[in-house]
Amino acid sequence: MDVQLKRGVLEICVLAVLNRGESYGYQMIKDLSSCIEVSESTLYPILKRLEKNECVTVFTVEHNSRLRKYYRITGEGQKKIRAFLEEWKEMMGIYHFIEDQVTGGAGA
Amino acid sequence: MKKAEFLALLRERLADFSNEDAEKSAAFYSEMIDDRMEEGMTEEEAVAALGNLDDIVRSIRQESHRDGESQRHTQRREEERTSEERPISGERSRHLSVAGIIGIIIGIIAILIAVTILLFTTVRRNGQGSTQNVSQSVQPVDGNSSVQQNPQQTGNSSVQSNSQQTGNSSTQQNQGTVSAGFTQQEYSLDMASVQQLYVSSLIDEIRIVPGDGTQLRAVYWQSSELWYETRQENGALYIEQKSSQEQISRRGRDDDDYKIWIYLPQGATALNVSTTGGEIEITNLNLPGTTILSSTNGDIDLKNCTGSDVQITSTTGDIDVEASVINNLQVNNTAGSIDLEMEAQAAAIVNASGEVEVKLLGSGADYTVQTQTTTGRAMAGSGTGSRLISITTESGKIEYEFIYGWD
Repeated sequence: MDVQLKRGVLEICVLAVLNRGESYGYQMIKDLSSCIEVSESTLYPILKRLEKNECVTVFTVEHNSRLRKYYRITGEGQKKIRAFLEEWKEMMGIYHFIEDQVTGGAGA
Repeated sequence: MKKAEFLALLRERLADFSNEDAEKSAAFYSEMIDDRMEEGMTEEEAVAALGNLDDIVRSIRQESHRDGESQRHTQRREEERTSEERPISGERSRHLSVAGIIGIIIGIIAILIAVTILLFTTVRRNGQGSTQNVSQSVQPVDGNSSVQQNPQQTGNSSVQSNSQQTGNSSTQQNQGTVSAGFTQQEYSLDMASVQQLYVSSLIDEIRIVPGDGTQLRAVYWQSSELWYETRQENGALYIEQKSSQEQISRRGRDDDDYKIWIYLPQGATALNVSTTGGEIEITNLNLPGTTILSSTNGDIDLKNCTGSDVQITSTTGDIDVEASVINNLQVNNTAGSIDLEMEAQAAAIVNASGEVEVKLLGSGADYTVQTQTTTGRAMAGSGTGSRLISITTESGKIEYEFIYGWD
């Protein structure tokens, strides 16, 4: 997949996972793997950016005598998900249009 | 690798980041390692599962560069000398710092100083430049002017920087229009003195076409800030564009001005053309035996040429060879495209992310085409001929066909 496209879409994937409930780094990687391949080095910058844009908040919880960072989606983050879905609804329309042109009619 | 070692290496690679940012990065990866170990991996396995340290560092740097945080990093390092304690919960990282305001003030002062220096030097230069222009407009156009442009014709080795000349010898052919302080110049030299020709430009488009007779001619535009230096050394002729500015642009110049035309008769055995910001176009030429063409961003075009050993390299420019016959061709590109329509005895074509399209004059009985790619889409190799054409890309697409005539 085109790198730029993947980067934009990954952010929304992360938000979507968090929308189901707050989570932490490693768990997110596991949850995301069913949808899209993401490594730590990709996830970390995304989380930093989401935090900077106030789409998620971060808090620390003690787990087995070490610190674990949890991420929680904000209202802003949920807005982003909705905007993405809206945008891509139009994209799906275009996709089907193209598909129809290519498979539907006979070649010129 | 053990966890402690990995984290130490990571911190080392982020030494120029603020303590806070470096620690955040380390903490993230430390947590990942711990989680994996909790799942059952060994410490070494967990560290290995993170991937390549270079990739990790790169991704962190790319992100911070994108944010422009790196400026704030250096400022924060000053702040943190006073070792503030960071609370554990809910960190946010935006500050409007005093250091930031001081940085802006310093920036403004630096700009003022730079502008003053520029004004100072421009005033001095304009003194020279305008003398040139004035004397030119006064000079009558005399086709038979006995003023010879270049004493080099006697074969002496000397460095000539044309911009230093007085108005007298600067126009021979064209009184010419002056655009943005540029005047047209011509340089000529008998081919007997030219075994090797080196042409390089910073921003000009280099056009090479066949020349008449026995004289090499170079026609170009130059100003006091952007000029061509010509010199001879042991049978080699160097024509090199130089500039006194750091930033060079074509702004303010007519379309035709930023071209250097080289009329090249036969006789040279080697040709080396390179440009950083310009393009290269060579047409209808029997190229010297060894020819090397290279550009950074500019396109390279070879049309209707013949050559023996030809090497073409670019980084992001498009390389286009049309209707040409070459013995041994090597083409290298990184992001630009490679488009070849040619007859060749052997060719090695390499691209990274750019695509490759090759049209070979002849058939599968003449050529053996080998294609290889890492992640691109490549047509399978074919052919049984003795002429080997190898095409390799990383992610670029590879297409080729056999043709019976030029398009």
